[in-house]
Amino acid sequence: MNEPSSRHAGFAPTRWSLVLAAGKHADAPARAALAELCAAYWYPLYAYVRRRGHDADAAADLTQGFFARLIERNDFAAADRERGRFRAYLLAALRHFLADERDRATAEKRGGGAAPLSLDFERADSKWHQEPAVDETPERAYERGFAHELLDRALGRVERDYGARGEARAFAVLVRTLTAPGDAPYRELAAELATSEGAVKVAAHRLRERWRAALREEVAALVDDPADVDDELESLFRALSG
Amino acid sequence: MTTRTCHRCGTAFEPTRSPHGLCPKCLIGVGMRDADEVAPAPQGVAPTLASIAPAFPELDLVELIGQGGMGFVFRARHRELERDVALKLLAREHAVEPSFAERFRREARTLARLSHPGIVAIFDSGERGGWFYLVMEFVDGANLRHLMQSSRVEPKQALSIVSQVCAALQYSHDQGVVHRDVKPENVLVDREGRVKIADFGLARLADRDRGALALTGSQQVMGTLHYMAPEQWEHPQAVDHRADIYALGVVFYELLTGEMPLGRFDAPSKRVEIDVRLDEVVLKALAKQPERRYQQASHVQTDVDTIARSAAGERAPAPPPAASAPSPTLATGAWLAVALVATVLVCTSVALWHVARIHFADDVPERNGWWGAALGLGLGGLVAGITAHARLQRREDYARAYAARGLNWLDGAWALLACGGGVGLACAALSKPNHPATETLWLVSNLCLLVGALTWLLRRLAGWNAARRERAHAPRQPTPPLDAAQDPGARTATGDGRLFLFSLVFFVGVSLLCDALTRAVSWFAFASEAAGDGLESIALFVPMPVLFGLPGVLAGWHLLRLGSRTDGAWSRPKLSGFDAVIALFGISAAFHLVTATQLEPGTFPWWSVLTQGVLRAALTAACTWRRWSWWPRVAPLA
Repeated sequence: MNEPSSRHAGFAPTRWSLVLAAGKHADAPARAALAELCAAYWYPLYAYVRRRGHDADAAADLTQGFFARLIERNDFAAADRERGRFRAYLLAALRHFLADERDRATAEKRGGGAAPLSLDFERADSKWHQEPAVDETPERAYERGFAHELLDRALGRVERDYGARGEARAFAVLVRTLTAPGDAPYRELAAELATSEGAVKVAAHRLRERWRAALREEVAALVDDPADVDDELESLFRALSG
Repeated sequence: MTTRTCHRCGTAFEPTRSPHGLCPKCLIGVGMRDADEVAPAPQGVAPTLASIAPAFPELDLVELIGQGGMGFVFRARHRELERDVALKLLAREHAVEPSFAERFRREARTLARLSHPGIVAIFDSGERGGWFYLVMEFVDGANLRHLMQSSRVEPKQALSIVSQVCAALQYSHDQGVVHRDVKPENVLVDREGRVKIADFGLARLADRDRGALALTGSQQVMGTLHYMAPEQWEHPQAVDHRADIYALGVVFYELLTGEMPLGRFDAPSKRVEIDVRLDEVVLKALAKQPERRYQQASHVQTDVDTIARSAAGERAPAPPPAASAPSPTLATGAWLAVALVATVLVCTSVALWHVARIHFADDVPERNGWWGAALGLGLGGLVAGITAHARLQRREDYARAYAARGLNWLDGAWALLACGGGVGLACAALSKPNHPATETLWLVSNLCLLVGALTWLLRRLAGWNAARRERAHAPRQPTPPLDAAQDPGARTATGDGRLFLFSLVFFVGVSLLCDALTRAVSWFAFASEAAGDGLESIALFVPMPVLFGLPGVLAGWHLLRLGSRTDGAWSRPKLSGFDAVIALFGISAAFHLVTATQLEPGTFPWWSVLTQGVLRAALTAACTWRRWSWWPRVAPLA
């Protein structure tokens, strides 16, 4: 969780709907919001570009160029259909951008001058090399990467929340029960936290509730219509299916 | 770079990449809609009809009709027999242990032995094409979950369903088969309203396969979680048929109210308009400790059937409640009027008794006649009051009007008694001292105050208290019944009544001991002339109270301590049995001390009453101290 986004993540998530509401002629706050969202979810885009066969330098250039155009002009009309959901919109816009770039085959315009975001491509490259060398489509890599970023952000928020209340240790211990509530070794966890088994079960349940709330909040920030949260979660769930 | 396979969902993931090394897919699963209620798609994708058809040549597969954590269910038609059947395939990934096949066969044989109209019959089972399968009776209808989602289940219908489920469960329990996974999804209702329970014992298969609950994936576990009895959480292998009764209780509650009995839940009659007697049935089925639950499904059925019959008998001619529903004011007035009449009758009887005692001190037959009349009047007043209130309570419209105000008749009674007692005491203080009428007034007022205080205590403690009102307005937390402190259901129904009883036993015991002590002390201090008591009366009055008081004290104290200390089910979040004892002692100490001020200083009764008052005040203080030092606390985390 050392992504550029982490310094914002403790607060309520930036809302994609804010950007949408601002429309084409985005004002400064909307632009800042878009920049922040991009900064949070740029790695999946980078991974997508890499999967498309670009090398590290080209991918870094393209990603940065894409953000420059997105944040400055935000004119990917072709992606408008997907506007309701940030994840889908981002990918559609990137595809559109890559197609444009190929047509022009010119690199000099990329970035349009100063880079709008400071992105750590070196780290991204090493992260990329840690990815499994499985045969997967660029789209899939993007979806999976996106899901991971989202989970990182949401869990980071919950963790900082616990930390702020001086319960970092409880979090570190209980987080293991998040995905395995039924058969978690509550007795051992209770011993580790020097409390009763019942109290651990209750605390684990609360953590689960908090996690659920944080995750849904994070996803709600990325869709225009709150009713889409479940759909979006389901898409991510499918994206992660083996 | 290492990858790991999640043992719940079977997805490969990289622990180094995913947050805290947790399976990302399961993490998202937690946040998904209804993750806690409905089991979403299991691992893997349903096989196509074409892919499994070759393995089942005798069946015409029609469609996939359901899928859950355990596998997939298809509707099919048996070619030879020309009847519809359901084909259940158990997902292959479940069968990882070599012993699974053997156990599956054993379970199937057990299931095949169950032959009951309320249980889905098994026709065939085995292993084909890599699937473990069961061919079952096809039920043309819907499961309870769908039924509840599509329309509201009427209370009458709910009673009929629960009764049928009870019959089927009792049959299977008699055969030694525990379902272990009773939930709305497993209760099927056909078009004629007949109930059939599916998936008997399959949960056990799942449980054993990989420890407690791992097999069916986190979502499935979550879906089933709320129907699991507390002991099923703690000792999944040592569960008996009473776990099914708990799950039945959850289903029953859900059927009646449309909600799950989670966290601080209301009695069903507080959520919907139903017979209040059903509360007791539901709460008893939902008792946390198996030994406090119904011990047999048939007992639930008997109670449900009794209520259903009496409801059918009583309700049919009754006018619709909306038309005749009284306003809350009228209803409250009725309650208060009944309480007033009963109180006046009882007070008059006490006054009569006292006046007769003074006036006919020398004429014993006359006095006894008056005493009989007083007793009759008092008892008559009590019985009439309680009966009238019970009748009102049974009328739903009145009960509802009270619930709307958060009142019940005990409120009226204690308020009246307290007011009457206060006014009486004030009048007695202003009246001529030592006049028989003043004395009578004094006695009656004190009695009113004491009974009023006891009534208030009863109201607070006996599960009829304002906490219900609070609960109705409190935010409902979807907390599974994990911890005693979080599960007030059983507590309100039985625990508090018992605590009150223990408190009384303890109080009476201590009072008897106090009495014996005071008598002994007064005898030594004032000698027999002043006390009017001889040695023979001491010999009678001291050992007897000790004989009866001591066991009461010991038993009461032990139970109170046990209740306050170890078993959360016996204590409310804010009240414990000690509060009852403290209040009782406090009231009696005040009573004795106030009475002592009315007596001639230096005489025997003055001395005795003062001693009693001081003793009781000391006991109040001691109990208060013990109460705080034994107050149960949940250890805070980290």
